Parts: sequence; structure tokens; C-alpha cells
Amino acid sequence: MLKIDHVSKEFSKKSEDGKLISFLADNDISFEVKDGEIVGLLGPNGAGKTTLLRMIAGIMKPTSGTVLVDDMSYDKSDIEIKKNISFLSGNTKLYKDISCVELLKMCAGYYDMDKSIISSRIDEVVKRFDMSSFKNQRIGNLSTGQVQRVGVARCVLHDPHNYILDEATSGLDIISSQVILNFIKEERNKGKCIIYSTHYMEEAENICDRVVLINKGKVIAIGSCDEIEKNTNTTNIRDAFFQLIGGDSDEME
Amino acid sequence: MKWNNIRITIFKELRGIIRDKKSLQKLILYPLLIPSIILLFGFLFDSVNESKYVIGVNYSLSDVEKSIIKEYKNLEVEEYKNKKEVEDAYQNQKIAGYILKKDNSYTIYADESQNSGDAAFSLGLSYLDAYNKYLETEAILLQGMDPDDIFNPITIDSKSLTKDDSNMMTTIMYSLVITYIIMIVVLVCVVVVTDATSGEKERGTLETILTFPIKSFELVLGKYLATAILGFIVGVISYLLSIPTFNLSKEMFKSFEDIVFITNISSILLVIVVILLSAFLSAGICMAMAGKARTYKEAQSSLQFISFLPMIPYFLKIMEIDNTLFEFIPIANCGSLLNDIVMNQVHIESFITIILTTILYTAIIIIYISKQYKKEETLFS
Repeated sequence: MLKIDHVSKEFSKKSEDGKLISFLADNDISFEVKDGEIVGLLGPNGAGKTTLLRMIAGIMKPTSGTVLVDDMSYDKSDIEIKKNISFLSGNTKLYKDISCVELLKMCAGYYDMDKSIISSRIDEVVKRFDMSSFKNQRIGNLSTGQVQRVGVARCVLHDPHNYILDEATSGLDIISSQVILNFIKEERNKGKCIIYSTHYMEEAENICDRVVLINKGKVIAIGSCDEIEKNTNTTNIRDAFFQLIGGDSDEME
Repeated sequence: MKWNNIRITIFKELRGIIRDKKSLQKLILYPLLIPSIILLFGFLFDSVNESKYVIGVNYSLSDVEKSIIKEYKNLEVEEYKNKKEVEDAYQNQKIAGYILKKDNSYTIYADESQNSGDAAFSLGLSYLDAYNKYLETEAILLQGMDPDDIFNPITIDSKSLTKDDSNMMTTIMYSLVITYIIMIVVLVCVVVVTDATSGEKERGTLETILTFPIKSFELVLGKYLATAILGFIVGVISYLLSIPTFNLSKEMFKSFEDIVFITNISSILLVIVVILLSAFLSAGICMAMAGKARTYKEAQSSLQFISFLPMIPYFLKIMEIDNTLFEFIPIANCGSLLNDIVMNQVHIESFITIILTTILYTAIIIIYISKQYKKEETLFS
């Protein structure tokens, strides 16, 4: 289970006149993701989704508030939490100079997996994501879809309980996207806890049990797609989002 | 701290560098330049020593002058009919300098800023001095006196204190090669650190690794050790390549026939220890300086100046400056110590000072980078 409790993240940047100014990338965000649930994190570019996911994955620290993963906080149980989470981002790149199998072995080492099961587990994920034909090729020589499949295989290898997925289907064709979406659903059905960030509203409607709408670092709505549509008197989550931020979807497009 | 995480990180970094063609080319090329430099300098020094310098004169040489000139291996004197012919020959670069005679007055003309002009000037002066002394001796003998009583009222003798038959050329050669070995260590560290820090940020792979159950200290230590290990290995290979090359150059070049490159077991071990220390220090300095660089280019430009640190002892050697304070300049002091080891001139006090300061600097740097790489502005700059 993931619990995000009043989390804020402040950054500083230089203004045009050279002065250092602070801004909140995420502002007092709270929500929960239960086991066996996919929660979509929806919002436009720059809404603060990636920063929030980085804090949930433990690679950034919140300025205030706490992130609890399976009731543990990063301050006390950083390594323990990371053993049980997986972070997959559309922007995250993999090492190009190593093969898929070498990457998986390296990850297994970092996750301190039992040496006796590493080979069989790698064979299992290679088979699951149909990677047999390119498993020994260097990642730099693979197509975008194949690389993303390797990324997913890397995520699932240590069988984590919590998944943090950031724009995981970004830039992928329909077939590669479907592989990832199927994997997400399968993991949810196994009782895993999944937070899934995307700016493809329709995709979120398809797979998410609940969504968190976020804009300019603030949560503007939480609930199932049906609930949000009902509350905003709209028929899809895209229109609901634009209504909540006070704009017109056709105009903004 | 989990050693397994550090080991995986070291292996990952080394594999990444070795599989990157451009980086691998650099790692192979740097040590290979050592034999090239030694052989090139041997060839250049020999060609300088064997060069003949032609001086033009506007007068006919006497038999005595001709016999004096014969004694100079690299001097040749060309006779011209008059001043204009001599000057034309100089303008046309047929002669390196010239001597004009008017009555009993001789004037030497040469451009001392040029190597050939400088040689012509000193050879011309030497020949005229010898001829002048001959004439003085003749005049004294005509007076019925003993020239020794006039010229040598006291006896002067000299004995060289130069150790191991070394000369200026071999000293420069040693310093250059040693400087280059330390420079190689630094350059390798620059290549590895650039890839391991800003390269990882630029490629977007750092985010992946930060989600693994690994402490930032283990990650930094793995990267740091990979850098130091590679710097050390390439540095030792460079040094080991220099030994047979020096031995070969002794056979090949006259200028190097007296060269003594200390290669007993203890000196080899000492050199390896110094290379190891300089690799650890260079790796730390490079990591500290490249920490906030966002791109390869930024990292490379911020690391450029470190590559010049090993040059300091070389320039000090040429300028014959010796100051205890230089023993505290990081990396540069390692070069200076290596130089002393291969020339068998190690002073125990400076040896201990340099070893201890290098260990101290390295410890400070490791603490600094382990704190630096915990900061988000370093990881996500």
C-alpha cells in the first residue's frame, strides 16, 4: 500500500533577472493506493507528476509531508522499501552497451536475489515478455518497443509488491503499449499496488480503478472515472479534467 | 554497506567503458604514446647532437685555423670572398651564422634565438678563442717565456658530481615520461568519471539505478573505485611499457646510451604504489568536480584543468625550482615523487610527506563526494 500524506516539493530556479526564486512542484498532495488497485495520476506536462513519482520511488525527498510504502517510511527503511518497489518511466533509459540478459542479471544482483533462482527467473520474464529472439542483443540495437519490454522485464524481475509507472507507454506503438497495459492489469489481479502516471486520459479510463487529477502541483480531483465524470457532469475524464481546471478541451487542444 | 552492490557497480562501470569504442580507443592510445614519445625524443636528440653547423667567413683560413676547426665535430667553416657574399649566404640560409674580419678584429653574427644560430655563435666563439690562445702562445714563446707561467699560474681541475652519468637531456626525458604517466592516470580518470557521472545523467540511466535498493554511498564508492582501478591499471601499463622502451632506446640512440632508468624490484613497487595513490586521488578529484555537471561537455570542461596538474613538476624541473611547498600540491607531488624514484633520488622525508598528504587528500575527497552525491542538485542537476 502507498500512502502519500500532505507531500510538498519545493524547487529553486533562477528568474530572468538572475534572482533565485522558489516554486512548489507539488503542493500538499495526499492520497492512498491500496493493494490490488491501479491508481492513475493524470495531468498535463509540468503538473508535478514525475516529481511526485520520484518522491514515491524514494529517489527524491519531499520538502514536507511523508510517503509511506507498506507502512514504512524512506527515512527509516529506505533499502527495505526499495526492495519491494519498481519504478518504470518512459523517460528512463537503459544501458545500451549491455544485453538484455546482462541487464537482468545486474538488476538481480542489486536486488540481492537468491543466486540459485536468478537464471530461472530471468528465463521466466524473458518468456513472459516474448524477448527470446533478442535477449542476448545489446539494448542499444533494439527497437523502442523492445527496449520498453526489457524495461518492464527489469521491473517485474524481483517480483515487487508496488509499482510506480511514469508515462510507461509514452512514444510506443499500439502493440507495445498493449503489452505494458496487459502486464499492469495482470499485476493488479495478483494483488499488487500500482500507481500509473499518464497524460493519455483514455488509457487511464481503461485500466485505472481510481484516478488522481493533478494540475500545477495540486490535486484537483480524486475518485473513480465514473465518480469524477458524474461530479463534473461530463461523459469522459478528458472533459472532466478541463472543466475542473476551468478551460475548454476543444479550445485548449 | 553492502560490498555486493559496490562490486556490481564497479563491474557495470568497467564494462560500460570497455564496451564504448571511443573510450576504449583512448585507454589503449594513452599508454602507446609513451614508447612513441621516448623514441621520438631519442631521434630528435640524436639528430641535434649529430647536426653540423656551417659558419661563413669573409677571409681565407690559415692552416692553423683549419686544424683547430677540424677538432670540432659539428662545425664547418665556409670561406667567401667578401662581406656581401657571406651575408647573401646567410640570407639564403646556407650558413647558420658568419664571422667578418677587418684587420685583426673578428665579429660573430648569429641569431641566438634559433637553435642553429645559438650553436653557430658558441662554436664560432670557441674556435676564435682557441685560435686567439694559439696566437698568444706563439707570441709568448717568441719572447722566450713559458706560456704556462702566463696562462696557468694556478692549476684548475674539475670533477662532475652528476649522478649515474645523467645529463640535461636524460633529466628532461625522465621528467617528461613521468609527467606523462601521471597525466595518463588523470586522463583515464577524466574519461571514466565523465561517463560514470554526467554520462549517466545525460543518458537517463541514473534514475533507474537510484530506484534500486542501494545506498548512495555504495553507488558513489563503486563508481569511484571503478575509476581509480582503471586509472591505476592504465598507469601501470604505461610505466611498464616505458621500461623496455628506455632499454631499447639505449641501444638505438647515442643520446640515451648513458641513460639509467632505475628498474629494480623495490623501485618498481614504489612506482606502482605512487601510481595507485595518484589514481585514487585523481578519481576522487574528478568525481568531486564533475558532480554538478549536467552534460558530458560540462563535465569535460570542468575537468580540463586537472589534466595540467601533472605538468607542474616538469616545469619546476626545467626551471630548477625546488620548494618544499610543492610537495603539498595534489597529483603534481606524485609526479615529482615518481621522478625521484626512477632517478634514484628519493628523500625519505619528502616521500613520507607526499604519501601521507595524498592519503589525507583522498580521504577528504571521498567524504566530500559521498555527501555531495546525496544531494538532489547533484543527482538531478
